[in-house]
Formats: sequence, structure tokens, C-alpha cells
Amino acid sequence: MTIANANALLSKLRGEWTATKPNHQLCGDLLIQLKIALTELSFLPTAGVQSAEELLLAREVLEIGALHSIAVGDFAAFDRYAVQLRTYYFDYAAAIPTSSQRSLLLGLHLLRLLSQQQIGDFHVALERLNSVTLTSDPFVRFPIALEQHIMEGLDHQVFAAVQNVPHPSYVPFMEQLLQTLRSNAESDKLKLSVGDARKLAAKIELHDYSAQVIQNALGYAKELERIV
Amino acid sequence: MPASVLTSAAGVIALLDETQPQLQAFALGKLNGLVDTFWAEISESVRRIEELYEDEAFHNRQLAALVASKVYYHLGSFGDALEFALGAGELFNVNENSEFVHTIVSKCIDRYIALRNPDAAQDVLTSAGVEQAAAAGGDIDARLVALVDRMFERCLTHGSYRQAIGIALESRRIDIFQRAIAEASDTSAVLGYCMNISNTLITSRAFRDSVLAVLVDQYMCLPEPDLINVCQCLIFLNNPERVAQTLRDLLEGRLCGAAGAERGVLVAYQIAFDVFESATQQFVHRVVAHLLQLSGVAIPEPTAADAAPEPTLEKDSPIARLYAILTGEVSLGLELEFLLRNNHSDLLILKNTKLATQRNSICHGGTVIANALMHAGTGIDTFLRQDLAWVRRAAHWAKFNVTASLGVVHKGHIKESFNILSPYLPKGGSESGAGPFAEGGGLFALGLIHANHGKKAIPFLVEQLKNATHSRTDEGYCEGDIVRHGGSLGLGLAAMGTATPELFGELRAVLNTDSAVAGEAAGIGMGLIMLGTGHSECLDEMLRYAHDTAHEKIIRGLAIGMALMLYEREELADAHIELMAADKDPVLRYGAMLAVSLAYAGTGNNKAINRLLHVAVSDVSDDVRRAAVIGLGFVLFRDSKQVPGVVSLLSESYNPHVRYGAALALGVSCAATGSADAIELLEPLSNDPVDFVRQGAMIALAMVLIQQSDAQTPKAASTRKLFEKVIGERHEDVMAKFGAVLAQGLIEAGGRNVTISLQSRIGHTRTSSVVGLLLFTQHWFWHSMTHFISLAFTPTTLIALNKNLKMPQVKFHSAAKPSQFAYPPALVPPKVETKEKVTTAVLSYTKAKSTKRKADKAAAIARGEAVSMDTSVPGSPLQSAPSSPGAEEKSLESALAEKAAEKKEDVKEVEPDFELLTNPARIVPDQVHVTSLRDERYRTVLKSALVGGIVIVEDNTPELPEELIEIAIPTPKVSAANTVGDEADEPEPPQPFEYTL
Repeated sequence: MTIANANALLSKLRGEWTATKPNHQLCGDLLIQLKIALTELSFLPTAGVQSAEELLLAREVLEIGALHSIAVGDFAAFDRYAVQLRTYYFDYAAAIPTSSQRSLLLGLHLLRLLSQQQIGDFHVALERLNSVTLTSDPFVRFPIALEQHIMEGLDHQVFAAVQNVPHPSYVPFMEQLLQTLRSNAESDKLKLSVGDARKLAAKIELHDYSAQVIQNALGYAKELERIV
Repeated sequence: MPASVLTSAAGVIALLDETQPQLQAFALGKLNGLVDTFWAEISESVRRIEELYEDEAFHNRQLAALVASKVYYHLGSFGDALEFALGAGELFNVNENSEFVHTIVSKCIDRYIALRNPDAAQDVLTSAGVEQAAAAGGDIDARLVALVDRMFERCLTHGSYRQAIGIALESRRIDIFQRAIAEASDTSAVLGYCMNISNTLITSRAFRDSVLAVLVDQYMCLPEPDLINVCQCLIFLNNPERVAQTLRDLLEGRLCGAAGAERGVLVAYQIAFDVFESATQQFVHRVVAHLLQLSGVAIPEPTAADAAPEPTLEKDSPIARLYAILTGEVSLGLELEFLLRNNHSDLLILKNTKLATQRNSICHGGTVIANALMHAGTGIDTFLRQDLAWVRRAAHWAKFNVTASLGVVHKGHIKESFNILSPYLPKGGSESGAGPFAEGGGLFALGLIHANHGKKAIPFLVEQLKNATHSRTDEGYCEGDIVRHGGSLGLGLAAMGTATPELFGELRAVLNTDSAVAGEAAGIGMGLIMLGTGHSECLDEMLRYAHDTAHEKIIRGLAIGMALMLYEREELADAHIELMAADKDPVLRYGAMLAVSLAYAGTGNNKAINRLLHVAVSDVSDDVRRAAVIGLGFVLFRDSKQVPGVVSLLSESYNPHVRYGAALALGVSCAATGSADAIELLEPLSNDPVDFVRQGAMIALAMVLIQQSDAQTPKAASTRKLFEKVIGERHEDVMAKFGAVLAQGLIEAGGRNVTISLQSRIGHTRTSSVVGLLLFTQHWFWHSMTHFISLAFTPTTLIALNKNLKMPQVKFHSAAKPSQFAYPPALVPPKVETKEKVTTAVLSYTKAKSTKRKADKAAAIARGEAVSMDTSVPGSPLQSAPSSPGAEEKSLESALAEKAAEKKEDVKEVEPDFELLTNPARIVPDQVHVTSLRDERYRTVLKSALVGGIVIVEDNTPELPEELIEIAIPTPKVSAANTVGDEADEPEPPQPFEYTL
């Protein structure tokens, strides 16, 4: 498959996706075809200088794919698109002009991580962003603000934020996040009793354990005497 | 546009979760390139990759396996990495030059070897894969085999034949082994390598035999068959018939091609010498018998008068000469000649010792033995004769030892043995003899002289065993027992390894008298006769008797005997060892440890080492533990560098017996190496608080430092001083003193011309050395056993012989400073008052005199060098090397002669950095590598490099008359009246000493 063919496919996809009522089934099929087409081009390059045209093509496919996956509710696919896009947003940022969708997709990814409670990955992702994006970009500000609220225990602020999401595609992830927060609150109630139980168990074990230590020490002494 | 660099493989990894196989394959391809950088990231998804590999429908399973393998490799989980690399099949490229491939290949080979060769598996038992495989019942994964085969192909196409051979041997792939040798370009070098490793690294006897069989074929296939090595292999294969056939073919000029029969004869001589040196007595006998048969010589039937009659051979015919070589006549004669001619023993050492230990009977005995060791094989018994009053103080068993020590001094003098010993041998009939102790000692001495060459002595010994009296004296002991004791040891020595049932029966009769003294020796003698046969009926019989008898001495004798019978049996001995090791009698367990030492001597077998180490720290009997530790020295003697590491912990044990064992293990394994590591361990032991540990440490030090010059090992001189100090110390324990006296004898053994070596120059285990050393370690219980160490002495000589088996005048060139391998300087007598002693002490003159007699230029050199040895300062500036060393020997000689003359006036001359040695030359083991034959007239037959021992040389100008070296061995004049106890008729010493300079 040549780049021309791929471009033709992409424009078909672009047309379908930007239509008022996009046919998600058709988009999915087109996306699969495109991804396979990309494997024959320089998809996800690992090193060296790449042609800008191919980079742009791949990036757009992934961007549409990411948004499409949210629309059809395939969040795992979104995760994959998001990490793949990072190659184009960061590693090859210098080779191609910045994408208009970049902030939106980065913000979505952050929210997705937050909703999955992958706080570590969330912060790793933040590290890659420059300070301008961090402070002024509304798409990115939104998940950051949410994270601060959660850390401070201001859960009600999070619940309130549902009303003012920066983009409609944030909604599914917001719902997920709220669900997560609710189940966390429930499990907190159990925590205390688990702690108590553990203490009790430790006391019982201590007795057996000390006996075993003495036994071991005696055994070692015996062996040592034999060897020397 | 700047090149961009990927910061994460997450994108690619994410592709693995796509549903389209094309995308997954694409991702795997990418990951294969990224894995070396991003393995940490990828390792989190390795489960996913494994799933892909396990998916039968997925087309790129092998790629998935390869990526998984690399990930596991980076994670350090080599077992899994190997498993997946095998799954990767062809994608795993053995030719790739990366650390990953190298690691996996080596793991793969390790596992393959472990599977093919379960004995070796013990080494790598830690790797989980082996355990799995072992559990699977040893069925080898076809993929593993395929990978190893690819490795072999690679080795063979790249010309790394040695690697291929090494792996083939370890994994027991005879087919690859054969192919590698066949394809190798430098066949003879590769064969030499095979020969070497097959003897050092292959622990399984059965497999070694099949390797050697291949080697024999390959050696014969060479354009010029390497017959020396063929015969060496045949010795290992125990195939005397083929050796005889080869010799016969050589005599008839069939095997030497164009060179013809004349050269063939010389080659045959050389092979015969090598066979004689390497093989057991029994093997050589069978070669002789077969050779005579092939040559159509009638072998006369044994008669009552002569049990082993000589066949009638045409004098000086090649076959007669071969016969003489194979029966040992020639070698023994030459060695005696060499030891006498070059004797450098220092009588002053003995005299000092004698003075210092005058009041103690144990040290008296020790001094006698030390004298025997110092003069072993030289035939010089001056020391004993000079002070017969002192000697006469030996009573009872001490007398036995004094007499037996004559056997050590005259070792190998088989022609004159009866003359020398006649005063001490039982007379028979009504004639009164020298007393039971002297007679017993005499028989033992006879055995020592005839050790391994017993033909002439055996009938006499058997007769004496039969004749010995059974009556008891007033004090309650049986005089005959003492005679039988000596006789049994003597018979065992003389008939060592002959496996003659009649002789075994004779000793059984002695055993059945159930006398502790005689029975002990009978047990040992039985073992010596049946040495290495592993005869299970005999073993069962001996074990039964050991269980029945009440005498501990007899049990010990039998235990030692059984151990001797299991010599070199390796795996075949395991059943019997097991039986003895499980016995409740510690003496039999002691025997089991000796049996392990002997059965696995020099093999380095892991199982044997484990067993010894286990017993060394767990048995309740000190004797057993001691024997187990000493055994380590025997099992590991080929790998002597390892031993200090193995025993270093044991040498610090709280148990003095274990420490003693550690000392002797070092002595045995590192004998004559001068190993600094060994000395480092032994030195603290020589200051041990326990007396017998000091004894062992000093003996071991002497063994390690034997023949080491001060230039080779700085410790040599200080160790000699240590012995002197211990002997001179007033408050020192007798045990330690005895050790020091023995050590002095050992370190100066054989006139400073012998070494202790458990393997022959070519690398065969020297049976008599191993047996001798093992029996020597029994001196713990019985001082007479000390004499057995004479079996382990080998003259360090290089003798060139011409086609008539005579020594021509030949020079050897040793490319080292004379002081490097010099004799230690003679002791300087304290004051003028002992002028007499000074004159006798300077023995180096013997050599100078014999050469001077011939007014040869060599004499000047020899003397000149003797001077330079004594006077030059080590480390003095070197004389520049001659630019073409081989060019003009004559001029070198004359230059040296002049130099020698100058030195008389100016002794501070610089030391030359080479040395010319006359035939027969003293070449210590380390010197062999720098020595070469540089002679215009003679060249060696067959042997490209000199390895010491006897070499046959070919004369380039046979028409010219040859200058031969005179034989200096005198016929000893011994009168019947000359007994040890008789001062009246003191005979002349064998060599009159003169003093000049």
C-alpha cells in the first residue's frame, strides 16, 4: 500500500468522522484498514529522520481513532491510541507542526488515568508537559484540578465539576471517575477492621515464630560445628 | 530536521492488544528491535507476548518467542530465556555476535551436556531447567538438539574445532567429535588437544575408552601415523596385543614408510621406553609375551628351579633389545647410573641431625629413614657404614627399618640385589641368620628393590614365606611372624599388579595364621598383588576375614589391601566402597576412604570429592576423617591448583586430625610444584600447637618443595632452615622432630635428583607413585611404611640413547640461568675442627671427576658451572644472550671453558643465561620446557619436543665413530660378614671420595 492509497483512505475516514451523524461501524472498519496500511509505512518510528507526510498521516489516524474509541465506548482501545499518540506528540514533536487536537487528547488521557486511579502514570504524563500547557490549557487544567481536589479530599468539588467539562468527550471518563470515587468511599469503611484483624493475627503468629527462630539458631550452630 | 529518539515503547506495546494479527506481528517486529533498550517497559507485557507465542493460530509465534526470550534474558531469568529461544527456532540466529546470543547458546550447551551426561549435571544443578529436564526422564528436546547442532555447524564452518571437540566430548557426541577431527586443518595439534582433554576432563571411564578408540583410528590415519600417541591410547584402552603388534610391525619396517626398517627400529625402542614408563607391570608383561609370540620366539615353560625363565634371544638383535627395554633392564640401569653419577646429597645435613637427636630412638629411626630417602636409588650407603656403632643401636623393629632402608637406597638395583642384601636374608637350613628383624627387613628391602620388577625375587620370597618358623620365643612372640611381615610386603611389592592367584594364595596362607603382625602385611601384600583388578571374589573374601578377625592390625591391612584392589576402578568400585563406607567398624570405613582416593585418583570426580568432603566433616572416627581429607589430595592431583582452595577451610579445623590430613593432601597433590598457595597454608600448620600436625606440615612442605631451587621458590631455603631449627630445638616434641627429620630426607631425596610425581611426563597416572604415596601416608600407624615413598620417586633426567642403547656424548641446551634450577648450596661446616666431614660433604665433585677422567671439554664446563652456581649472586646483571644460540656450539663451549678458567681468579663473574648439560642430564620438571637438543650430530626420533625421560636419538653421521659415556656403576663388594651389627670388617664405600678445589 502506498502513501497515496493511505491518504485516500484517510480522507474517506475524515469525511465520515466529521459528518453530523458519523457511521461508527464504517469508521471502525476504515481505522483497521488504515492501521494495517500504516504498518507498511513508517508507523511508530523508533529512530532516525522520518518523512513529515507519513508522520502527519499516522498522527491523524490515531487522533480520529482515539476519539472514535470513546464514542463507541472501547476505552482499552483509547488507552492504546493515547500511548501511541505520545510518540507523535513528544518524540517527533520537532518534525511536524503541532496538532490542533493535541491538548484535547492529552487532557483526555490524563482524565482517563485519573479515573483508573493510575496516579503514578498520571504524574508521569504530567512531567512531559511544559509549564504553559500546565497552567493555561483548559483541557489539561481540568484533570489537574480534579486530581488536586481528590488529594485534598474535596470530593464534592469533583462531583460538581461534572457540570463544566471542557469537551463532550470528557463525559464518559468523568462518569467513570465518579464511580471510582464512590466505590473507594465504601471500601474505606472496611479498612479499620482489616487493620485490627491483622494486629490480632500478628500476636498469635509471634509465638510460633519465636519458637522457630530458636530452632533455626540451634540448627545452624550444630551445622557450623560439624563443618569446622 | 533533528533526528528524534523514542522515549517509550508503550505505543508499540499497545499494538499487541490489537485484534489484527498483522498489527501484532508488526508490533513484535518493532519490539524485537527495541527490546535491548526498553526491556523494562516490555517486561510488564511479557505475559501478552507469551500468549501470542502460545496461540497456535498466530503465524509469528517464533517472533513472539524471540522477543520473550530477550526480555527474560534481560531480566536475568536464563532458564526461561533459553526455553523461549528454543521456541524461536530458526529466528534465533546463532551467528549473531551479541551478548544475548552468547549467553543463550552457552546455557543451551550447558543444559544439553547436563542431559546427555548426567554425571556432569551435578555442576549445574542450580539451574532450574536441568531439574525439570531430569524430571522429564532425560528425553532431550528436539529443539535443543537442533540448536546445538547448529552451534556445531557454526564451529566447524568457522574453524573453531577445539570448541566443537570440547562440546562434543562433554555432551558425548562421538559423531561430531569424529567429524571435527576429520575436518580440522592442523590435525596433529587437534589430536594432541583431544588426547590431553580426554585424559583430564572426561570422568566416565566407558566414554573415555570410546573416545580413545576414535583417537587411535585417527592417529593411524595421519600421513605419518603418530605411533607414540597410538600406543599411549592403547595403554589407556588396556590393549597390549595391539601395542605388541605395532612394535612388531615397526621392527619389520611396515609402519615407517619410506624411512625404512632402520628408523622403524628406533621408533620401536622409543615406544617401548614410553610404554615401560607409563604402563603397569602386568600390561608390559602381556606386551612382551605377545611380542615374543609374534616374533616366533619360543617362551620356555616355567620349571621348578626357575619360575620365570629367560627366552633365548639372539644377542643385540632388535628383538632382544626391545625385550630388555620392556623388562625394564635398560631403564633401571640408566636411572641408577644417572642417580649415582649426579648424586648431590649432603652428608653434613644427616650428620648434624644425628648429633642433634642422639638420645632419642624415634629420631634415630627417622634419621635412618631420612638417609635412605636422601640416597634413594643411588646405591650409596656411606652414611650407615661410617658409623656402624650408631646404626647398631637400632633394636627390634628399628633394626627391621634399618635393613629395609637398604632396599630404598639400592632401589632398582635388581641385578645385584641378592648380593647387596645377602647378609640379611634368611639363610635356610641350619645356618644362623641375622635375626628375625633383620631378616624380615631384608625381605622387605628385596621387595623394594624389585618393586614392579619382581621376576627374580618372587620365587625366593615365596620360599621364605613358606620356611619361616612358627615357633614362639620365650618372650612370647613368634619370630616367623616378623619374617612373614617383611616377606609379605616384599612379595606384594615384587609382584605388584601381576594378579597371580598362586601368589595371592601364598599370602592368604600367611593371613590365615591370624597373627596381627604378619596378617597386616599380608593384607597389604594381597592388595598389591591384585592392584587395580577389582576382583570381587578376593574382595569379598578379604572383607569376610576382616569381619571375622579380632586383630585391628589385620583389619587395617585388609582395608588397605581392598583399597589397593580398587585402584583406578572409578565407577566400578562404587559398590565395594559403599559396602565398606557403611560398615560399623571405623577401620573399614578408613579403608573405604583410601579406596575412594585410589579408585578416583587423579580423576577429579565430583562424586568422589563430595563423598570425601562429607566424611571429612561428619565421621565420628578421627582416622576416617583424616584419611578422607588426605584422599582429596589424591583425587585432585591433576588439578593441583584447586587443592589449596578446597582444603583451606579444613586446614583451620578445630580437629587436629583434619588439619593433619589437609597438610598431607597439599603435600600429595602439590608435590614438587613449589606452589605458593600450598606453602602459604602449610607454613602456619608447621607452627601448629599439636605436635603431629607440625609433623604432617613439615613432611608436606618437603614434598611440595622437593627439588625447588632458591631461585624458583624463595621459600625453599627458609623451609630447610625450619627443619634444621626444629631438629635442633631442645624442647621440641618428638613427633614434630621426627617429621622434620623425615622432611629433610624428603626434600633432598635421591641425591637431589628425584622428584615426586603422580603423573608421568605424558600425563598417565603413575601407578607406583600413587600406590607408594598412599602407603607412605600409612606411616601414621607403622613407621616401616615410610619406605614406600621410594616408589613415588622419579629421577628427573633426560637421557639420550643411540641405536645400540648406549649413551653418546650429547649436549642439551637449557635456556635458563644455571642458578634457576641449581642444586641447593652445600651446608658450610661450622669450624675447622670437623675437617674430616668437610671433605666428605662436597659430593658434587663425583660428577666432575668422572668427566675429567675423559679429558673432555665438557668437564671444564661442568666444573665451571659448579663454581658459578656456588659463587654467583642471584640477580646479578645478565649476560646478553647470544644472537643465534644454535649457531656455533663449539665456540660457546670454548668460551665457557675460558670463562671457567677465569672464574678461578675472579669469581664475581656474571652468570650466563643458558646452560649446556651433558648426557645424562638432570632436568627438573619446570626446566623441561626450556631444554632442547642442540647437537650437530644427533637428532631425536619422533619426539618433536623433549619431555624428559629417555629419548632415542638418530645419528646423522653413522659412519664416524661415536664417543660414548662410560658406565660408572660399580659392582658392590659386599662380603657375607658385613652385617649391620658387625663393625669388624668395614668395606670400602662404593665410590671413593677425593677432595680437591
